[in-house]
Amino acid sequence: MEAVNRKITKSASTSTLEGLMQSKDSSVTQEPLDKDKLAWVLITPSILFLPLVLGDGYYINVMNFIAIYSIVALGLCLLLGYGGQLSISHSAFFAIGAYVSPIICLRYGLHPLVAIVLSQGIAAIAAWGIGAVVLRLKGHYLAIATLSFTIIIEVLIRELDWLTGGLEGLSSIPPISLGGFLIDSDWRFYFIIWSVVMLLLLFGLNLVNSRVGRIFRAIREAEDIASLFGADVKKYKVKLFILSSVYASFAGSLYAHYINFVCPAAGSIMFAIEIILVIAIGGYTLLWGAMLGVAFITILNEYLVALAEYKRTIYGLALILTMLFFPNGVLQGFKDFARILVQSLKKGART
Amino acid sequence: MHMKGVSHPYKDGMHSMITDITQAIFAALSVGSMYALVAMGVCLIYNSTNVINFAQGEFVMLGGMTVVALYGEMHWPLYFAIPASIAITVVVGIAMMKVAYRPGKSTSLISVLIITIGASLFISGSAVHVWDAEIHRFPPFSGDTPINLLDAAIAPQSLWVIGITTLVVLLLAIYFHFTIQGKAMRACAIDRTGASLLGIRVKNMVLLSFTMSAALGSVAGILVTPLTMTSASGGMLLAIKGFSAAMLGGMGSIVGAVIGGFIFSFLESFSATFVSSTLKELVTFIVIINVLLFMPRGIMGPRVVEGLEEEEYLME
Repeated sequence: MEAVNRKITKSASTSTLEGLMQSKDSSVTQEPLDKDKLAWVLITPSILFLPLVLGDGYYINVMNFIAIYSIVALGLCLLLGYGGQLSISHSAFFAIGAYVSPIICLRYGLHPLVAIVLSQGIAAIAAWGIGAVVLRLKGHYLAIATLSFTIIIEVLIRELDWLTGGLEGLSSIPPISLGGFLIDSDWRFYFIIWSVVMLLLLFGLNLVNSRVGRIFRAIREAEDIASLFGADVKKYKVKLFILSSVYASFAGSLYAHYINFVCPAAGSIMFAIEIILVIAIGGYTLLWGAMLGVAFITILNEYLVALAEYKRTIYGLALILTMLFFPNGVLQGFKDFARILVQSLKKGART
Repeated sequence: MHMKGVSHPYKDGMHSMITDITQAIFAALSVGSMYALVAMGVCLIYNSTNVINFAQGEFVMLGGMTVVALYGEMHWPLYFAIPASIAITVVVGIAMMKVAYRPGKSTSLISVLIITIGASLFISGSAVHVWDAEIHRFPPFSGDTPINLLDAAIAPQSLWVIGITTLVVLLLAIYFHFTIQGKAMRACAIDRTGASLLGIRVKNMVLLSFTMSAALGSVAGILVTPLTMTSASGGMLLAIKGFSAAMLGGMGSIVGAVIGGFIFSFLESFSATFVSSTLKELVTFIVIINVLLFMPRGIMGPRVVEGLEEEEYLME
């Protein structure tokens, strides 16, 4: 398949789709890749050293939650922004991760790390099963099928109380330990979670600029043409769905072992919508934007406690306004605006 | 019923079985009427704009809640409170149309979907502030005294629900088949460009579909609130059930929407009566995933279904 792909790209003239499918050795896609990598190299150490400069404090707790939700948002950004598939099931996979790992831990007494790995395997199998059938659908139909899955998981968590603790949830979940070193405080967890997030971000950045990433984008633009160019559309869609869902379930497992408690709210539809809002703010195709969106929403939730009862109204209004004025996301909108500004300035300078 | 037949356990068993079935059928008919009204509303908007309106359930909630406020609390007469409630819901519906439907602007499917989700959150969030987050009901139209039928206690309100829904469906059928405006709406549903070439004002048809859809939703809310109660946050789940019913019936088909609504309510009612209430919650969603996968055109589906790889699926 790869050979066929190469052959076509060599012989055909330049079009956007073909550009997306081109193999890595071309120099066309090198430039944006370097910028993102540079930013990553600069930002990662500054985030990791932040607490050493600022000291301990409540903000570390907030930062930890930003990190956990960032993982979910990164996963959805890959699926929605690069694959073009709107799934409303990320809260369900978050809940699968957040419940399976503690259940393995508490019932079978396995080490938390083993439990986390096992639960990712289970989540991946679930995502494969769901994705293989549901991804035949597109647009609205896909959204509703995944939404139904989310509701089924939500009901199961509430009703199977012998397994999940029902409405009371599961408590006294053991924290993660690395060879006798317990990750049981905000401070310790900070370094672990942010390293994980930055690694997952790097993986995402590399992925979207690889051949596979270009195939995902080609699928988003036009599935038929992507398959004409030799990409096995179905296989790639399912792969992307599994990857995206495992991001969510991994975040769920880390969440459960961090706050040592899970309740059915972890898998609510509201959470799935919140993550979509985050992506809408950050811009569908900006992985950094997804993280900034999470930071924005989490800090908003944290410091506008007075407005907590207006949360639904504000979220609703924010979703509508974002989509009306920035259909590609707020950050992407600003980026486009800046580019147009620069271009018009250049034009003005030339004449 | 358990007190009566202590000495005839077998007869009592048979008897309570029949009672259970009668009661389940009436519960299913009244809940199904509501689903059918919601599903028809979903269909109307889908036919004219290709948008699936996630805020459809909020129309139901608004209809119920405004009557609770006007009739239940402010003691307006019912014949005044009901038209007022429908009018308020229709105004909200038209406002929604102005936001969600913007021809000429290239908004993607995902943006429109997110806009209607946002509208749903906004309306239900605002409703919590206008009223509160509690569960409400208002007294039924003709009292609370149950009617006895085959030893089952039937709430008189369920007869109102079934009767008025039947009337609404009949009126809609007449409207779509015998009036020029109704025929124009059907033409728009089949082919918008073609309809506008024939001089039909598509924009007016869209306005009409949102108006009718909001009115249908509020009627559903007004009818069932005395039976099933309502709360400011109950709309989303209802909308999901409504468009699941519309999809089961075949997206875009009004008759299909009614059939789909009743199939879901019967499945729910009978699984709750004879199996468990957990299954009742699950059955809709398990059915809808299977319908989407194996019968994507639904029962009465249109000839062309956008967004489905059906041909490919059939070829496998």
